[in-house]
Amino acid sequence: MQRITLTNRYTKQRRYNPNTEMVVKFLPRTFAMALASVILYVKPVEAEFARELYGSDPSQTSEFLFTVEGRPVEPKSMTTILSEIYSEFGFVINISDFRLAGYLLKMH
Amino acid sequence: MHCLDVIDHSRVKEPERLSQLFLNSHVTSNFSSIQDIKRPAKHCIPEHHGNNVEWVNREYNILKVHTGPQGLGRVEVSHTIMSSVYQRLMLNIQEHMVNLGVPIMPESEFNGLRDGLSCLTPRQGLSVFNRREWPVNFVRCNTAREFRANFVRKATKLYKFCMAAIHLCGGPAPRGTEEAVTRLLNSETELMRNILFMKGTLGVQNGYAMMLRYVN
Repeated sequence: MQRITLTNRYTKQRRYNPNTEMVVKFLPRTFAMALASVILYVKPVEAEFARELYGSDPSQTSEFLFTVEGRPVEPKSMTTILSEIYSEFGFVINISDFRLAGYLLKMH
Repeated sequence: MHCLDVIDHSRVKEPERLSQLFLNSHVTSNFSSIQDIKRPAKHCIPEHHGNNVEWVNREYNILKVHTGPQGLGRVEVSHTIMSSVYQRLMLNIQEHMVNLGVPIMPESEFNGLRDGLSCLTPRQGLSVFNRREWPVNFVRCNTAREFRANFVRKATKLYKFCMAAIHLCGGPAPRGTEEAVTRLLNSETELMRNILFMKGTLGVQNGYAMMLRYVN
């Protein structure tokens, strides 16, 4: 079976204008329930603990999903972080290579 | 790929049906110009001089990515592999939640979450619309410094698993630099937060147009 996905609205920029169509990843509900628990339970606790231990700004801890000691990370480090996590599961790949593979698998 | 479980099937099946009916190179249709674009695009992938992937089988569902500085390494990628990694990430997320002593909310509570999709007020988000007493009590009951440092350390590991799982969901992902600043709250400068409660699940919005499109 062959499939093709046509994409012609590729944009490298975030779309912050709420008046335009939203582009959304819908998470599987099981994962979404865990992530909601992270947002509502873990993040507030981390904000309080990190403020006390490391002097982190609680508003920053609350604002970003990914934080280390309550602080957001340098964005460039995220590809390395993701690669390391996938490596822990035996899937050793550079994230930029993985993104390319993702496109091609999607196309077919 | 995982989003297929939660969105209406017509959104997935209908484009596929139309593609097979009109766009496949084997069928006769009036969309020959698109077929002409698709046909060479498909065949040139293995021969292209700058190509760094190779298909493993004729079903085109497994490929090998050429990796490393010289492109000599090979890493196999398929939906099966990604699904396997995703399932193990889910297990690790659940284990970490247990280790942290944090419950995963039941479906009934999840279904009752509220969100304001049109709210652009700074500092607003899911945690504001759905405040819980549980974190306040947890902080009050766990005062040991070592426990708190351990909690923060484990939380970061948990976030890593979550980011890796998000990266796998919903088709091609944005760049790591964009994912690193996934916002839970609206901001002064960038308005809309990235994580929203919608359509009975969480949606991660970051304007990356190669993902699925949600139209209000």
